[in-house]
Order: sequence, then C-alpha cells, then structure tokens
Amino acid sequence: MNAVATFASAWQAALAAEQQAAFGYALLGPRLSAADQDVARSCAAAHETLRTDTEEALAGAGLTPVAPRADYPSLYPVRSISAARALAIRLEQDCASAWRALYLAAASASGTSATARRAEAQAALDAATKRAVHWRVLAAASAPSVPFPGT
Amino acid sequence: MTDPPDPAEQPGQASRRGFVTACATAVVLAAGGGVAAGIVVRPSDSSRAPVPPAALSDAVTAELELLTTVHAARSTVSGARRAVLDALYADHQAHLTALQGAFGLAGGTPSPIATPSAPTGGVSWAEVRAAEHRAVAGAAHRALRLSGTNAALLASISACEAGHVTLMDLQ
Repeated sequence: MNAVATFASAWQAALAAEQQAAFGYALLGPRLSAADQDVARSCAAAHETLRTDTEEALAGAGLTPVAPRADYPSLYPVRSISAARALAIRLEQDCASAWRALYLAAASASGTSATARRAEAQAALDAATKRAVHWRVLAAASAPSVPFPGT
Repeated sequence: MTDPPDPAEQPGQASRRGFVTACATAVVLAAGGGVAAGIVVRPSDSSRAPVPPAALSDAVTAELELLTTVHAARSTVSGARRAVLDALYADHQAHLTALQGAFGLAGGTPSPIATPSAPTGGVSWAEVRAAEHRAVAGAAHRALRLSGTNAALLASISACEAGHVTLMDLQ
C-alpha cells in the first residue's frame, strides 16, 4: 500500500473509531453513576462532534466516509459500573490508536491535506488521551496514564 | 547558551533550567528517588552522516528538564499527589529512553556520563503543572518538524503530557 492509500485508510479508520466511540458511550452510559454519566455525556458529545467533522473532512477531500456499523458486538456485555468504566477506557484508547496512526500516515505523506491532518490528529489524540486518563482515575486504575498514548 | 530566566524560579534556589544547562542535559535515572545519575546526549561528530534532526535533541533536552522538575517536586508532596508525580516521572523516563533510541537511530551518539544530583525541593505542584502544560505544545511543535515514526513519537509524547495536566487537575 502506498503512502497515499495508507493515509486515506488511516483517516477512514479514525472515523470508524469515532463512530464506535459514539455507539459505545450510548451503550455504557446507563450503567454508570449519575456523576459518571455527566462525564460520559461530555465524552459522547465530543466524539459525536469529531465524528461529524471527520465525515465532512473526508467528503471534502473527495473520499466517501466509511459508514458506521449497525452494531458493535465486541463492546458487549456491559453489566456493571466497573465494566462501563473499562469500556470507556477502551473506547478512548481505540480512538487514540486510530488518531496516532493517522498522524503517522500523515507524517509519512506529503501534500496540504496530510499537513492539515497532522494538526487534527494531534488534537484528537490529545483529547482521547485526556479522556482516558479521566476514566482511569474514576476506575482507580493502578496506572492512570500511559507514556505513549495510541501505541 | 543563555536561556532567559525562568520567572517560576525563586531567589536562593537552584535554577532548574540552569541545572539542566550546566549539566549538559543531565537526567535523573533513579526510579526510587534519592540517588541521582545521569546521561548526556552529545551532538554527533559533524563528519558523521546522517545528523539527527534538531527537534529530536530538543525533545531530549525537554524531557530532561521535565524529569528534573518532577523529581524536585516529589519531595514536597505525599499521598495521592506523590503517586501522581511518581507516575509522571515514570512516563518521562520512558519518553527519554524512547527519544534517546530515536536519536541514536537517526545517527546521534548518546553516551552516559555521571552527573551531580538534581536539585531537590522548591518546585511546587503548580510549577510542575505549568511545565507539563508547556510540554504539550512543545512536543507537538517538535513533532511538526519531524516526519514518519519520529513525528508520531513526539505526537504521542505530547498527548501524554496533555494527560498529565488532566491527571494533575483531577487531584
């Protein structure tokens, strides 16, 4: 796969990760405490905005945005608060991985679109990392941060 | 090298920036704290090729400064805040190791040397947070000066520093 195809594929994968996150937060929300639900709503809104923005950017670049799946069976079951928090961490980690991959692809390609994507990917990687940290704190994880988000 | 004075530094205390400069980018390696050792990254011989990108050596220096800052602050806090600073310190150590590896692959010649102990005390929680906050933009800016895997490494480090700020804010 050449650099351009890798770049386009990574961009679509970032959109797919945001689609999964938007779906996943709707799934885990009901299992959370009221306080956690406020956090989840904020995270969900951020992912929905990023999903829409990414779809529009892809379309603007002449690409057809990948469609969301009808279901995400790998996210089930979510039977408890701890499971919901763990899923939130996983969703954020998946998004961080996808955006870091896009950053790498953009940093390995050339052109104005690739350059623009680097800034967007950095912002999205930062945001997913911060949300993951928040959820790890709520989950009292032994390691609240990871040294290389997205890897 | 004449860096501008750090307004966060207080009279009578060891200058963190000065320490880093004077030690030619020294790093505290002792994971448990207390014992200090160091590493210096020397510029590669100009006759050698390729020369590592300046952004990589800048990133190494930035991580060394963060390590010094966090190390100095660890002795001033306890409990949950100490645990947070320990986590930050571990992350910065991992960053430094990765950056030194990237620096070596790019043609640099990192070489370990002994250094004086890092200054202890006198660094506040707020100063650490401010340093982490600055590091977010710093690493992101350096990432834009790089390409490929080195750029992605700096992007990831920038995100980690952003997470550090969030982690500190949640305390």
